[in-house]
Amino acid sequence: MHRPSPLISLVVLLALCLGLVFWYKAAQGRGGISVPESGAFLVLRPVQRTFSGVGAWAADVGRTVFHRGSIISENEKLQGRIADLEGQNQRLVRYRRENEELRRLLNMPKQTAGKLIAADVISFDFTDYKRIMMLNVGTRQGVRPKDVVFTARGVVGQVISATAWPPTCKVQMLTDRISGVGAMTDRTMAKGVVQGTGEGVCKLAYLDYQADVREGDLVLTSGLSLGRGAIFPKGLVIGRVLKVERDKYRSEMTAYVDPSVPFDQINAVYVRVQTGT
Amino acid sequence: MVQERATWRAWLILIVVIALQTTWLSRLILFGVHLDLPLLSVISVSLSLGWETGVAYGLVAGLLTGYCSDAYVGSFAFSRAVVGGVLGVLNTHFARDNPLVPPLCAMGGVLLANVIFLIMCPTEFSVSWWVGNTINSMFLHMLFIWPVHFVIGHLVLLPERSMFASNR
Repeated sequence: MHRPSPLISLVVLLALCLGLVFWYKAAQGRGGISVPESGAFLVLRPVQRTFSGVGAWAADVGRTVFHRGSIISENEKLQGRIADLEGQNQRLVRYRRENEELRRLLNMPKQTAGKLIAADVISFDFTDYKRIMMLNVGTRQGVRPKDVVFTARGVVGQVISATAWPPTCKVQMLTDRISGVGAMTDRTMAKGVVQGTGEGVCKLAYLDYQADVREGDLVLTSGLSLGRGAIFPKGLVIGRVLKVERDKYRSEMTAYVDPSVPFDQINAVYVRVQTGT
Repeated sequence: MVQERATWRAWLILIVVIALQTTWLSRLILFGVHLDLPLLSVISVSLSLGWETGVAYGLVAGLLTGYCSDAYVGSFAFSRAVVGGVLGVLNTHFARDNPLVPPLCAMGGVLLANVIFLIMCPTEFSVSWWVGNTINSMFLHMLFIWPVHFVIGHLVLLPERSMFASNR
């Protein structure tokens, strides 16, 4: 059988690659995922799921074997804590109703609607340039770019692209270099922007020089728009201040924030799907 | 026919490698850098199967790396394809049973891939960060090429061509 020369094969391959890159770029611009990319994810998904499943099972077995005693005592402590939290929760539900009633009486606009859906983490990026994760929910479940992703411990990031089949969305994590979230400190309400550094810590930038920010302060989302990306609902936990730095021109202050979410340990998250917007 | 079979096995290995990297190994950071198993597999496959397969394998590995990272798809594809091609060509000049070849190729491959990446995306990171990252990455990948090349050599190559094959 006649085989084409290696040079022709190479040129065809490079042209094909160029086409795929343009296709990817066009889909990315629309906040979607290109068809070849979806095809690749479809092939990879069962293998990734197998590896994730085996990894989680092995980790569970390891924890059970090596930390059996501590698991039992921790379980007893948690039972007591559940009872406390149930009482607190009932009070908070009552306050929420009161709050809604008062907002209605004062004719204040309704807070942005949203529906929570749970999702499993399928995979993480593996380069030193980006901090991305993929979830097993897509546009069929109502997920769209700029949806907010979080866990019970705090903010994870925002959806940057989603596709219907296979149900997949890509999430830009808080620690990604180009991520930005409007933030404030819990103690003094000093406002700034939490930016990713590509490393384990984030930077709380654009703080006022006179702002009262100290090590250990809790940092929450401010609910303010940055003009691009998602608008994170007010009050979600981001992390705690590790260190505060003032620049030599005495114009601004930067704080380094330790995210409350252990990004390397999360297996499941919530996606706040926008409804009616 | 035998070469085609080896190439098919290489594609199956690539799927497993990408899946492994995006699950278990995505959380593994040593010396401040990620272990890039797909890049190591590109180096190993090009050393085992030559430049033609090396280029094609590198191109697809780079595309998948870019898809999974949601960035720099073209840069990843091009840099990995060049690494596959260059090492595949150089492979004919090396003695197959020389144990220093895989780590030296891993070092050169990482350097080449990172230089191409720097040229294609010069504004994405600082040069000082790039230098530190490249040096650490070269060292890390030099260490890990042996097990990767051992496994890929056994899975892809014919027994008599593999430097790790026993003399049965």
